[in-house]
Amino acid sequence: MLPGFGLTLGCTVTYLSLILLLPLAALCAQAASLTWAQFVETLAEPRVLAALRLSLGASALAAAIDCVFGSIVAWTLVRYDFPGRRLADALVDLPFALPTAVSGIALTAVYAPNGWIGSLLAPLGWQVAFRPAGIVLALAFIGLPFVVRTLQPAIADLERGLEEAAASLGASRTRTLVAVVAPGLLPALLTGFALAFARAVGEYGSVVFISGNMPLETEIAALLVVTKLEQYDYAGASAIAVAMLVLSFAALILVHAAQRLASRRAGSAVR
Amino acid sequence: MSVHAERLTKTFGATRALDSVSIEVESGSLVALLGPSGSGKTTLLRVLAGLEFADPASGPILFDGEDVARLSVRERRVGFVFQHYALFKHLSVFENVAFGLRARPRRTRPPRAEIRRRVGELLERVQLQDLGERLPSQLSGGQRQRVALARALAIEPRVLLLDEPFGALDAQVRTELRRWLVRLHEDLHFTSLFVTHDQAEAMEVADRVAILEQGRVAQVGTPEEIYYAPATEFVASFLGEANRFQGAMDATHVAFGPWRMPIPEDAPRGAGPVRVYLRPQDVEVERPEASSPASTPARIVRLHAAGPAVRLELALSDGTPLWVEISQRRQAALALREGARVGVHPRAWRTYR
Repeated sequence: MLPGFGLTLGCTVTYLSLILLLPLAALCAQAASLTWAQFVETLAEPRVLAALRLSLGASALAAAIDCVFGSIVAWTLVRYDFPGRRLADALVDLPFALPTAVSGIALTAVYAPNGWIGSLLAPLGWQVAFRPAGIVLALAFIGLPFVVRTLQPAIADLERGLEEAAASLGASRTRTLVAVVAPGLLPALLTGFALAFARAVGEYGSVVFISGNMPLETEIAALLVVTKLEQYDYAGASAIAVAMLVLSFAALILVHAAQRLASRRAGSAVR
Repeated sequence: MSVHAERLTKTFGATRALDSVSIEVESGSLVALLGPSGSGKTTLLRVLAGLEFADPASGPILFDGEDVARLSVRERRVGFVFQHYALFKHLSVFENVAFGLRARPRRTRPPRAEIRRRVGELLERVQLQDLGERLPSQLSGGQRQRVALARALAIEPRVLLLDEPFGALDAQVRTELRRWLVRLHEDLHFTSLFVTHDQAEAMEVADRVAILEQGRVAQVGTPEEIYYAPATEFVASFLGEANRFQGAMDATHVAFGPWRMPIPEDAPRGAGPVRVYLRPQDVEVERPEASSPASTPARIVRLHAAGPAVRLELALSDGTPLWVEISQRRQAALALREGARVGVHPRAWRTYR
C-alpha cells in the first residue's frame, strides 16, 4: 500500500460526502416524505412527464449536435494553423464563462421572431425561440465547450503515422477518417457527449428565457422543480428532482459503458 | 523495380533537410540509408514515399522509368513501415493486413475469399498465422513490426520503404528480426530502402549502403567498400572507430605520429598536411623484442578482454594514446597485461585532406 492512502481516502470520502452525498441524501429524504403512491402520482402527471421527456430528449439531441460540430471545431483548432486560431480557441470557452442567464437573453434576442436571425427565419415559417428547437439551441450552446475540450487532446495525441499508413495503403481521405481516425477518437467523443448531456440536463438559466416555458410544450424539468418550489410543494419538487437524478445517472452509466467498450477496442484506456 | 531520383532538395523553413540528393537503387536490392540524426535520411525516405514533397526545383523520382514525383502517397503504391509500427489499434491483426486490399476501389478490389486467402498467406509468411484474431495491443514489439511488414506487403508495393524498422525493439529481438528480414528479402526480392542510424544494422542487412551527411549523400557502396574505403573523412569517422593523427605527406610517404609510411594506393598525392585515420583493428601488436622495422614502442595503459575482441588502450613513447583491437587468440599468444611494453605498427591507414 502506498503511504498516505488512509489520509487521502479519508479526505476524498469526507469531501464527496459533504459536497455531493449529503445534499443528495437530503433530497431523497425530502422526497421520502411522500408515500410511494404519491410519488408515482406526482411523476405521472402529464405536465411532469412532458417536462422530463423534453429535458432528456433535448439534452441528448443537443449533445449529439455538439458532437458533430464540436469535432469539426476541435479538429480545425488542433490541425490547422491560421491567423486568429488562439482567439477562436479562447472563444470556445465563452459559454463556460458567461452567466447562463446572459447567454439565454442573448440567444433569445437573436432568435426571437423580431431578432437578427429569427426575423430571417420567420418568413420561412420557422420559429426557433419559444419552441423546443430554441431549447435544443440553448443546450447545444452551453454544451459545446465540453466536446471541444475533451476532443482536443485526443486529436493532438493521434499518431500521425496512422493516417500516413492508411494513405500509403491506398485509402482515400474519407476512408482514413472513417476507418482509422474516428475509432481512435470515439472514447473521447463519448466522454464529451456525456459531459455535454449531463450539463444540458441540469441547465436552467439559459433555457428559461428562450423556451417560453409553456407547460406540456416547452417547459423543462428543471424549471418545473423551481415552479413547484415557488408553490411551496417541496415534496413534489424533490420527487421530480429524484426522478431526474435517477434518469441522468442511468444515462451516464450507459454512456460510460459504451465508452469503456470503445476504449477497449481502441486498445488503450483513453479517459 | 528500380528507383532513380535526382537532385532532391527539401527545405523546412530555414533548414535544408535534403540538399540536391540523387540516388539510384537497382531492382531487387536492399539499400540502407545510414547517417547521424538530422542527416536527412528519414526525409529522403518520406520524399520517395510521397509522404513529403520535395521542393519544386527538384529532379524526377523514377520508379522503373515512370516519374512519380507529382503523385500522392496513395497513388505511388509504396509499402511504408514506420518505426513505431503505426498499426490500427482497433483492428485485428488480420484486418490490419487486409486494410490495403479492402481500401481499393470496388473495381479492383479482390473478392472476399481472395482477400482471406492472401492475408492468410502473408500472415504465414511473417509467421503470425495463429494470431490473426488478436489486437495489436496483445502482441510483442517484434510481432507488431512483422504485422506492419505484412500489411505493407499486402498491396504488392513497387518498393518497400522502412523507417528505422527495428529502432523501437530491444537488442535481441532486433538482431533476430533483421536476419529474418534478410531471409524474407532473399525469398521475395522486393526493392527496398531502409533508414537506420545503426551502422552494424546497415552493414549486416543491406546490399548497398548510402551514407548521408547534412542532407547530402557522402558515399554509396557495398558495406565492404564503405567500411574499408571510406570516400570522405566524414564517412571514415562515422563508421567504426579510428585513431586520428595530424600528418604530413611528401612525394612518396606520409608521416604521422611516430611513423613514416607509404601513401595508400588510392589516396590523392601531393605534399602537404593531411589527417590520417588508423582503425584499431589495423594496428599490429608484437612483443617489443620481435619488432619489425616500422615498429615503435608503446605501453599498455588499459586492457579490456571481455567481448569478441580484446581492446587495448596504449600510450606511445611521447604519451599519445592509441586504441588497438586484437583477437582473443592473438592476446593469448602474446599474454599481454596492463603496464606491459609492446611494439606496434600500422597495417593500413587512410589519409584525408
